[in-house]
This record gives sequence, structure tokens and C-alpha cells, in this order.
Amino acid sequence: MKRKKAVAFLMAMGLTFSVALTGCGNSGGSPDQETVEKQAEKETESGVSESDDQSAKTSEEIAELELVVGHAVIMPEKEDNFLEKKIRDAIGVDVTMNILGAGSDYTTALNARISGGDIPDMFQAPSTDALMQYVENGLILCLDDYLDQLQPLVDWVGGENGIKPNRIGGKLYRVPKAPQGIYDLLVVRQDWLDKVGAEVPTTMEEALEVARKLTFDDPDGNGVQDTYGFSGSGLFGFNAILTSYGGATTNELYLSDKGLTSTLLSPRMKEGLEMCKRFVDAGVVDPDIVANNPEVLRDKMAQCKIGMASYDWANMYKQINWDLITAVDPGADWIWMNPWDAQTGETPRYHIKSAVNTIGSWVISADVADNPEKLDAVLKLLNYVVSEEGNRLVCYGEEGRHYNVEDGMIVKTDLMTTECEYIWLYQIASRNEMEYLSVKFPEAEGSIKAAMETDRIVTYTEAVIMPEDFHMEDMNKYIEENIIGFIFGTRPISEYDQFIEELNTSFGFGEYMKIAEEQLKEQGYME
Amino acid sequence: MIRVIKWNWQYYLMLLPCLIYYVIFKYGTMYGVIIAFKDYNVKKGILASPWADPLLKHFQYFFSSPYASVVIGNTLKISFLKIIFGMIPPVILAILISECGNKWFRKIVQTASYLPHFLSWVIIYGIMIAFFSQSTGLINRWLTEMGFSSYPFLTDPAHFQAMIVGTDVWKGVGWSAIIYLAAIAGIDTTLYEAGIIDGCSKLKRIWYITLPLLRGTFILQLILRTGSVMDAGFDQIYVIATSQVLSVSEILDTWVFKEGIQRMNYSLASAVGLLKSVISLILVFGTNKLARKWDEGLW
Repeated sequence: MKRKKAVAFLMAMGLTFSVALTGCGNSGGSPDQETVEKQAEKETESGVSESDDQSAKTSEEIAELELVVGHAVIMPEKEDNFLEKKIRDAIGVDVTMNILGAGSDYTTALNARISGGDIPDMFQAPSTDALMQYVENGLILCLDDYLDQLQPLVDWVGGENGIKPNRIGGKLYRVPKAPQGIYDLLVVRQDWLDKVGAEVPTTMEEALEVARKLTFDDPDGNGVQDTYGFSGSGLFGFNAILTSYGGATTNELYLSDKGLTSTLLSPRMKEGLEMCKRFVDAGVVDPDIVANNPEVLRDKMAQCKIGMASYDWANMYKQINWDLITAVDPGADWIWMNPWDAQTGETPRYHIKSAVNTIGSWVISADVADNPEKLDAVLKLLNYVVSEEGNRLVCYGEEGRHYNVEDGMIVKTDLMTTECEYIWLYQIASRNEMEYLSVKFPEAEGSIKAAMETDRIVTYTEAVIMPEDFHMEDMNKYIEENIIGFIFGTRPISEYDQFIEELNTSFGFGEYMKIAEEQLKEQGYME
Repeated sequence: MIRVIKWNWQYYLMLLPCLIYYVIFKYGTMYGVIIAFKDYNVKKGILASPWADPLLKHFQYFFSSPYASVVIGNTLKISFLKIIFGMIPPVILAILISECGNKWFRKIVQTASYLPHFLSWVIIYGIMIAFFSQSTGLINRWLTEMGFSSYPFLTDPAHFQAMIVGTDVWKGVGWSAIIYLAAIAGIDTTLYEAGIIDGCSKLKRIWYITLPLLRGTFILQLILRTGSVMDAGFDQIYVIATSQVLSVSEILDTWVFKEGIQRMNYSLASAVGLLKSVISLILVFGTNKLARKWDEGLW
């Protein structure tokens, strides 16, 4: 009897603990263990040649900074990262760049990390909206107090005038950077135009006619009607039409001769929507245009399904992308066009361009201010990436290896293409855009210039910060939903005024415009 | 009570890890729900964050959203459609499989039908694009080649919910059938034998023996599913929906994800989460009470 009891006891205990152990092994324990092991591995790898007290000495002197970005870029191993080594040699700061997902995954991953209390020293703010959340939570360092220590950076962006577009609600949270170009470009297949006997369109009506021909006249000559005259990546593609009417697919604030207005309130917006609808009704628009993303659109272009597109030069004319686009049909001759004229007497414009620097701006954790060494390292790094030496390093890599200077001009070597794919991430204060792009992508120079010279609607939307209890997200959603409705005919355009009325009554659009005007005046964007 | 525990203490000891798990990971973390009533600040943490003013601020924000009614409506509609169309097919499939005489064929059908359960929604979305996309999809290709015009299966708001429910049924039917198959296997075969002797046809046997005996399992499934009525399937809809169908695809979870999680508005996210849980709890109790009227309650 006693023995039986003992066996039962042992079995019960055994089961209990085996369950507990497997539980630990699967969920809690193993990741920790793994990281510990990895760390140990790394330590042994990096510390083989160094003696113990030497490494202790370097870690004492060299401040470490963690930088976090969200891009689909493959980073080399820390040991193979020549750029971080160079920065370490130059200013004695050990920078480590980590990638945390891309696109909206980045926002989610970054938020999760920050909520866990693990805030990177420096990171790219995913959006103005997200940045405002961080600021409200007291997570971001305000740079206004440190501007006197950042003189090289201030000079680099061109003084206060260059800093202004980086401010948010009048305060400088974003690391100021040189303005970056807008890449969007309207493109058309010249070889197809020749085949169907059409010219490059300059007006909306011509564009519609050409789109018809490119859809129904079998430009690829395969006997099947499988082409679309016009496509784009996402709803934005319709900006090819709408911006010439002073409108856009989204709510964008801009200055007209009558003062501040929104693209939605443009007197010609309805005409623009009518034009979009005529394109759609004619059956010349890629029906999946809203769901397209740049990669999908590129695939469709390569498969010879698209005749004209609202696209961008980088996804198109960079050699690697051009090779993809012409892979199936090497004769595909894509050229860029001027914006289509809506013949309203106004300058034709294509797409929007924000007057505020928002894309890919860096911010600094507020915790850095509590640690003088780190703060010093951050300031050093910011000033270094705008110095001639530093900026060349983050733009072009190592002299003699990745580029050579010939007659004062920078000429890239083949190694730049293979070894420097990730270094642009370190362009914290941006770069001299035109010089940089023409060195890096000489094959695309014409399209880069064309994109830069295209007339666009200059918007101030990103400079406006709405109060917390305003349903901004919902408003934008409602706008998107209805613009889609108007363009694709699920809601008649005759109801457009009613739609604006709904925005005013249910979503507080009128209040939004009022607040926007006050804030833009306050920030000196308008009088 | 204590005597019972003493007598069977080995069993209770084995139960212990499970209890500890629930106490630590389910009840222990529950205090975090108070951030629904606070202005949660990441830096200050849960306890030090200030209380919301007014206390129900985040609930009010949700209900003041012009989208609140749309979002709740879509959630309930999609959920109920999923229950209505998703409850019967597994029963039918299970009966068909169990009545199938060819053992070899039966195994293949069963495996093939529950395989989709293991695919993630992202993969299923890829399959859907391959079939239903208007510009490149196979079905639209056939349609256009046969002289019909192509149809926007994935981007037409009028049919989007049908696509969601349809794919959900397709994905889950085989898996849900397993539990009915088990129930059918547990039915006393003498009942069928008696039926045969009394001259019942196959259909009559299904109708008078199999179906009534599956009622308990069916109601159990129903109770479990009503518990998740407020979850209309986040991962499915988040992957499949585009902005063209937003008016019919936005559900509570996607709204909370965009407004709460992505914008670091954790208080709002947990307020809506709490609301969902409370409603689900009420529904589960309600269904159970209803089920007890037919003596089939879960507890």
C-alpha cells in the first residue's frame, strides 16, 4: 500500500513538473537562452584577438548608439559593416543600425518596442501622426535646446529657413534634413504609341483617347484584348488626373490665390472626378489600380499589360528595375510625359509635394538627454553626417574603393553597386539630392530631372496637428471611401456637395479647416 | 470537499500547473485592463498613468466616432453570417464522410478537406488573387475569353462580405467536421441495426438517428461560436480588405488596430477590447441559458 502511494506520488510529481518544464521550454525560456547564447557567440567572435583589458578600455571610451529604421534593406553583419567602422574611427561613436520591419509593419513593431520601454537612441519616425503620439508620451528629445551645438547641421540645411519645414507645431523634434526630391512620374510606352498611331498626350482629352487606343487597339499585337491604357499604384494613381483640377484623391491643404484651401474644396474637383469616371467608364483603367502596389504594377508593366502609368522614376529607371521592366519585351520603350492639361486655364500639375519634411525623418529618444555621453555622441553623429567627409561616406562609401574623384566629379565603381546598398540609411540629414542621384543612378538622370521639374501642388497638410479627440483617421477613411465611390461610380458625382456637407456635419471638416488656418498662420506658412 | 481532495490529491497535483498558468497568465495580467480607464502613458507605465477624465473618455471617443455604428454593424453581420453559413456544412460533410463506404476514398476526402485549416490567411489571399483578381485572375480570364465582361469579385462592396464568409467556410469546414465525425463514431451502432431491421432507409436513419444524436455537439459548437461573435476574424479581413470595400469590411478589430495599436492609443484599444469581452460574456451566458431549455446547456 505504502509503495503504491509512493509510486503515485512520484508519477504525479513527475507529470506536474514535466508539464511545467515543457511549458517553460516552449514559451518563456528558450528565446532568452537563445539570445544569451548568441551574445556569447558574438562576444567570442569579436573578442578573439583583443585582450580583456583592451576591450574594457574601448567600451569605456566609445559611446554606443542604437539606430532603428524600417526599410526592406538587407544589412551586413556588424563585423562586415565598413560604414559603422569608419564612423567609429572618425568620431569615436559605435553606431549600430537595426532594421525593424518595413512599411506599416515598422510602425507596429516600433510601437510594440517602445511600449515595452525599450526605446532606441535614434529612430525614424514612421509618420507625423505616430511622432505626435511619441511626443505626447514624452519620448522625444526637442532639438531646439541643442541647436547651438549643431551649427554644422544648421548650416547644412540652410539656416532657420531650412529648419522650418522640419518643425512640428513650431517645435523641432525631427532631425532637420535637406529637402528630398519627389519621384512620381507619368510614363507611357512610346513603342505602343507608334503601333497604334498616337502621339504623346498633352491634354486630358488626348490622354483619354490614347488610353482607349492602348486598351482596344491591341498595342502588343497578340490578338487578345488584354492591355489597359492607364494604371497606377494605389488610388493615388488618379492624381495624374485630379491634381490638374486642383484636386487630389486625399485631403491636402494648399495655398491658392483665395488663401488656404483643400483639394476637396477645389472648385474644379467635380470636373476632375468626372474625368476620372470617364476613364473608368471607358474601360481603360486597370481595374485593380486601387489594390496595386509598386511591385505589382511593375510586374504588370513587364508583362506588357499597361500602356500609361502614374509611377515613379526610382521604381522604373534604376538599372535593376529597368532590367525587370524590359525582361519580357526588350523593346518596351517607356518614356515620361508632362502633366496632362485639364484646359481650365491653370498650369497643369501632377501629384502633390509636401512643404513639410516628413518622410523618413529621424528623431532622438528623450532618454538620451539624461546620459551626457550618449547626448554627446548623438550631437557628434549629427554633425558628422553633414560634414564633407561624413556626408560623402554615407552617400558614396569609401573613396578609392566605392568611388573615385575625377576632375572634381565623383565617379562610382562597380563595388558601390554591390557593397553600398544599405548605406543610404545613414543619411540622417539627407544629401545633396541631385548630385547624389546622378552619381548613383547615372542611367536615370533624365527621368530624375523630369520628376524634379514637374509642377506639383505644394501641400501643408502635414504641418497641421489636430487635437486628440478629433477623429482624423475616421475622416480620412471616409474621404477615401467616397472618392473611390465617385470615381468608380458607386456614388453619383452629383452628390459631391452633399458629401462635403457630410464631412462638415459628421466629421468636423469645417472645424478642421479653421484649426489648420490658425496653425499655418502661427507657423508662418501663410499670412 | 477537503476529504475529496485528500482522497484524490494526486489528480489535484497534476491540475496544479494548469491552475498556476491561468492565475499567472490569464488573471494576473488582467489588472492591465484598467488602462481602458486611464490616459495610458508609455513612459509612466500602467499604475502611474493618470486616470482618464471623464473616466469613460475612451468609450465615449469610440462611440462618438462616425464609424462606430458601421463598425459594430459590420462585425455583427459578418459574424452572424459566418455562424449561419458555417454551422451546417461541417455537419453535412461529416455525415457524408461517415456514410461513405470506401475507406480509402473517405480518408483522402477527410484529409483534403481539413488541409485548408492549416493555411494562413495570407496564403489564402494569394490563392484568392490568383483566382478572383479582376485583371489577372483565372476566373476572370475564363469569363473574358468566353466573351463575358470581367467581374470585380474582390473589390465590389456588394459581394465582399460573401467572399469573406465563403472563404471562411471553405477554410474551416473540414476542420469543424472532425468533431462531428467523432460524435458520429460515438453513436451506438445497435441503434442503426435496429433501424435497419425496422426497415429504415439510409436517409431515414440519418434523419432519425444521426442528426438527433448530433444535437448536443451542434449546440456546444453554437455556444462556443457565439462567444466569439465580436471577433469577425481580424487576420482574414485585415489581409483581404482593400480601401474599395472599406464600408463593408471595417470591423471592430481592424478599427481598433488602426486607431488604437498603430497610433499607440492603447487606452482606446483596451477600452474597445473590454467592451467586446463583456458583450461576448453576456452572449455566451445567454446562449447557454437558451440551450438549457432543451437540456443541452454547456454547464
